[in-house]
Amino acid sequence: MPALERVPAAVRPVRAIAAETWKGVQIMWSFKFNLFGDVLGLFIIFLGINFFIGQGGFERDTLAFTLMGFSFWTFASFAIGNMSFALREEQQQGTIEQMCMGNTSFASLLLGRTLSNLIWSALIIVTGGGAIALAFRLDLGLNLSVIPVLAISLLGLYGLGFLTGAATLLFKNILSFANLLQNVLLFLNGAIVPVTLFPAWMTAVARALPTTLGIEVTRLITQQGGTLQDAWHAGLLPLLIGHSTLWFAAGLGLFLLAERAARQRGLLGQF
Amino acid sequence: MPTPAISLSQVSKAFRAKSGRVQAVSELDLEVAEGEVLGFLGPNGAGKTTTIKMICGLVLPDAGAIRIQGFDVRARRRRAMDRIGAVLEGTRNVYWRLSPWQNLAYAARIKGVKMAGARVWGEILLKELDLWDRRHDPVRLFSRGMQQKTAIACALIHDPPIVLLDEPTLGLDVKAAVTVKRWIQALSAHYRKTLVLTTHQLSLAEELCQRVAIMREGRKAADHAVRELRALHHRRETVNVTVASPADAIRARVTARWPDATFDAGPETTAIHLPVAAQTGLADVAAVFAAWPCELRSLEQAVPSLEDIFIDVTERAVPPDA
Repeated sequence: MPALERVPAAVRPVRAIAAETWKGVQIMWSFKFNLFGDVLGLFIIFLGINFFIGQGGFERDTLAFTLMGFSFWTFASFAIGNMSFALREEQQQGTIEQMCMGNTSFASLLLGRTLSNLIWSALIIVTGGGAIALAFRLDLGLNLSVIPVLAISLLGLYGLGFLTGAATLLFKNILSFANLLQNVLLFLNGAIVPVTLFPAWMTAVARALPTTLGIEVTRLITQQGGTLQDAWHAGLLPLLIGHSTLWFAAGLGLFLLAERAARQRGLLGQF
Repeated sequence: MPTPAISLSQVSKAFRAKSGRVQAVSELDLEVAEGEVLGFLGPNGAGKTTTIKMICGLVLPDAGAIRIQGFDVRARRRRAMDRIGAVLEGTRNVYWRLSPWQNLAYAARIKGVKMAGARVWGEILLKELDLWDRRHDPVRLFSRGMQQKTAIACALIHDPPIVLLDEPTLGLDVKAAVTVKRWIQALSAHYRKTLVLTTHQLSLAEELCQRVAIMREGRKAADHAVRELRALHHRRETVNVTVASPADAIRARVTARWPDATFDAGPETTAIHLPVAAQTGLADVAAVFAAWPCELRSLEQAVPSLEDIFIDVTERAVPPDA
């Protein structure tokens, strides 16, 4: 029997997050043929929507405009799916109970799961979006300024993911709501129609959702010739930072409360 | 007095259900000493799995305290969990899309074990559990027994001093069940682990456990060393008498004296099973039969099996320890 050394307590969360990320990637890689189906399915929806918007044809400007928003929605859709359908599956199978018996917090492990989900969805977006951009010779106006905007937007988005995870832990019939949320986001986050064209009340609702502001700032930078400074001075970037931080803090906070309630009610195992 | 490996003090847990409040566990006191093998028995719904999950920190008790080697599971959950490995019943416990080796690496990392040692220990575990040659195959391709062995290896990868096994042989074929049983014996004898074993297979508990606690309706109905438990259940003792057939001449006399006696008549001999009072000796029974018109062939006292005791405890109106 070898002497088993423990890693220092301070390092454990980082190591656990890395382990969870790696495990997620390994599991998703075992479904690698689904990647092709995922890419194809998502972008058939994208092309179908544009076909109807274009009244039976494709317009390159509209394609470039909607592709950016659709990419954000894809991240959102995968984040919600990861924290609802996938979490429920593990809840029913029992692997969540083993995760919760480690000496790292459950939330840290789900952060790792979120990272693996980010890698997977980024792969799908880059593959499918890249293929469409090449096929239609779209000028997406991508530059390095998009990266921090995307990172800040994803923070808020994964806050929504944690919020969905909290609801999944506690409520039996949440999956249909998660499905609804995925679909509603596509139409409310300005991916297809700019939120400025919505009625005032709907604009307010849309801007309260994660990804909407991120899409607006990204479009300012990529398609309207703006810079990060412009976004900052227009007040959009500070608003995005505050908005995303709030979503993430609220999502994580509620998830921690839900985890405690799930332990209290014995819901971590099979439903 | 040494700190017990597991200590439950006045632990209660109730769940809300559509039909109202369900009291799963009531005021449970239980201690498991270091190195002890405890069989935790009871019929379905008796509160065994809820108790196991409370020990693992997966379900929080409504009242009472649970300590693992002195660490309170509620207040110092992570320190307590460092000391526990568990294979829970009816669940996958491991990722079927991953191989045993990948599952072990994942379990080692989330449990804070350095990989150098985990690789060596993982190799020992997989070799002892006959999984080494298939360590890179996905668990989903394995038989139920191999999946269970993978789950056991993962539960042990951080070398916990305490191992909880909830129905470890459920659904396994005979060969796989024997391998798992031998491994459980090795965990106790060779690795000196403290073991808590829940099972419906009473022969398994009888073979492996030094002590059994029997739960009934959320309460502990019995908690004794197996031998002590037998001694407490004299009233179920049986004397088996064999006489030459036919035994018709004495049938009426036997049933008059022991109304619950049963007969197994064979061509040459008839076996008579007599439920006798606690203090009745074989000599007393022999003296009775000697006075009757029959040819007495043999007499033996049958000790109640754990199964007999289990039925007795779980069906009795008042628990013996109450």
